[in-house]
Amino acid sequence: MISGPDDLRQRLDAEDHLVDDGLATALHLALDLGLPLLLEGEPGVGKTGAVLALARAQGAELLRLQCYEGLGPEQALYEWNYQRQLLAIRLAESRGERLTDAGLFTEEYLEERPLLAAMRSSGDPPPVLLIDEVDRADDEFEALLLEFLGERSISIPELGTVRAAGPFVVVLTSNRSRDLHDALRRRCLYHWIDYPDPEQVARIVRRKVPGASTALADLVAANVAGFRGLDLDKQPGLAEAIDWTRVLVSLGLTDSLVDATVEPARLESTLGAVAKTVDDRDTLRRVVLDGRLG
Amino acid sequence: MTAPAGGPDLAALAVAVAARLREEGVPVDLRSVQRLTAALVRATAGGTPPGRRHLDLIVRTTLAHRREDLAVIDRVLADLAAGRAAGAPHELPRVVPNGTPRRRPYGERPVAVSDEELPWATLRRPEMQAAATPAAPDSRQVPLTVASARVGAADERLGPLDPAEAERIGHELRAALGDWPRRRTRRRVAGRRGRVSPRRSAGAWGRTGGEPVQLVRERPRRRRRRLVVLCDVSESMRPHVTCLLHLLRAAAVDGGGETFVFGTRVTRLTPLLAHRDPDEAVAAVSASVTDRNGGTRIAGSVRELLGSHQGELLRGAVCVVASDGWDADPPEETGRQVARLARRTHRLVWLNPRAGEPGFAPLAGGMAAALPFCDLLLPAGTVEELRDAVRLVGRSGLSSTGSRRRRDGTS
Repeated sequence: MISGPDDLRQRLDAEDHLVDDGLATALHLALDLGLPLLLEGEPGVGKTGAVLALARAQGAELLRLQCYEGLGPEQALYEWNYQRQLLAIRLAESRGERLTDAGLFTEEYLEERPLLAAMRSSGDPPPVLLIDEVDRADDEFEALLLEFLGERSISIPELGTVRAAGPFVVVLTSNRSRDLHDALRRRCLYHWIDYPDPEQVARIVRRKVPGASTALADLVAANVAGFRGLDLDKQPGLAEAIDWTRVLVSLGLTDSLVDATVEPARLESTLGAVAKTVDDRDTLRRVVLDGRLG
Repeated sequence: MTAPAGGPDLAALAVAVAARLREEGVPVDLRSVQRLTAALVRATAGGTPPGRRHLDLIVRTTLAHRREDLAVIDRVLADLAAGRAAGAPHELPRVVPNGTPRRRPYGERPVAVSDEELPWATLRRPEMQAAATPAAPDSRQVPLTVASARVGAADERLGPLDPAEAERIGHELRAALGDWPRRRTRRRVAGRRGRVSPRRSAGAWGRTGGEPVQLVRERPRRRRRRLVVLCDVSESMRPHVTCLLHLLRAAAVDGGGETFVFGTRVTRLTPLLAHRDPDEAVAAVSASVTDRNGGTRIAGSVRELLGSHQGELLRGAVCVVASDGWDADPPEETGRQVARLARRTHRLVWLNPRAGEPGFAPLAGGMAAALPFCDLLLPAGTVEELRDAVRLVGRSGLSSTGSRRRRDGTS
């Protein structure tokens, strides 16, 4: 039983996932009130990672639905096992029996997908359902979620309405690639994850990259924050800071970078961990060659 | 029971905060107030009152629905903590955050100019590449697609329109949008050709007692590509804006697209233009666009759009920019930003109201810089030209669903 946001933060900390007060409070409210939580933020700020860590910290089952354009109820809710149904019909015919709809559309032939699996789970601790990048799905899928998020029920035409067997935690993530409908937002708690400040980035980098010294982590965090002030196509996030640190440690550039004796040409070869387009690489290369790093 | 013994009435507190936020324009519904109350009750259940920071976080999580709400909530909470009264003037949140040019200038980047082609040529269409040999002087032709050479009443230069005329033009543009580039989706629909669908076939066999009489096939469903329209509303575009507004409205209402206008900054108009009543939509737009008839910053505006979260809507979209290309930004910067825009979109079409005039040459700085990255430059100075331009985009080779040709090396 999690007693409060601070307790949750410590448990996430034990899972090597550092969160700030705001995210800890939002996640705790989602657990405590049993309400869905919508996490928004730029790509790479740790939305999905926070949910994975939450499931690990609770020892709960994680059910994940990755959204994409064209996602329908067959992938999200349930699907009938048509092959088995046909076999059952043939078997019944061979015995001289006749199967009715009531005999065909039963639990036996129902293949559950993440949303239905969450509904029918009564595990302790409750499972964590991650509906990842919901902004990638179509408007129609959002409408499908309304009943699920609002009433915790799903209507299956052949079986009727299925209601939740027990509590479960729902977290939706969005990169804001399009506007979500207000009806969906109203059903959720909301939290915006911002880029962490350099001190927090340095703490996370030290945790995630064991070989990184405090000085290197601070340097990477400060520079990644500085890169966000440049005119880049893709702003570097937390993931890029961690990757860059790993690359620097792997190439043994730690000390020379901290002492500012690193050769720009060697440093330049590591920028692929931070820059994700050709233009961004050129921009960062100029910064590095100008010696404005640090 | 929301008032612990000797404690405050938490429901009343939640209602008061919600009422104050509604005054500030944050739509707080009853469900959110109930959530806030429940969260406050739980937070105070242990007997230890939560700290101010914790209370603020609870209010933010339960009452906010989008990022823009957070700044208002923080301000209201600060006001409440300081005991300030409501009604203090403040700046309303903007639909699109103002992209202040806080970033460092990018530096020099040469715009694509080669000896082989005119510096203001758009991307070559495949049929042009096939027809022209590199050595032939004809290869230096200008791939300007003139949509229509017809003359008539509709061919007069655009100016202020009377309401009936404006309504007719809007109707015609919406009709022209019906045939628009499409793309395949992951969803599949039943069809005569394509792969066999086990699910649909099994469903059909249920009606024949399990006998596999009919094989049902399915093919990918095709959807209309998103249309994103950017319209220049600077002084030089003043005579054309009235008509282009109907193109914007057609895109917002029937095209399922996104619409923006720009002068010195970008303003998103989609929610305003989607209003059923055209008059109310236009009135709302007029009130919302404050930088019209001012200067033009194409590079700054495009950069602002690409940096905003609506910039993601450009992926895979057909982007139509309506501008005469008169620009206050440095041409090399405009070229660079338009190149970014072109890379993010499926097709980039530039509508220039002046392109249909005799002797037109795209020598304006912004226009010349942007052209190498455009798929098409179309004239849109008359009603006829505008309508034909919309039709041409839908019916031309742009409707191909294949991958985009690689743009030149500078992009």
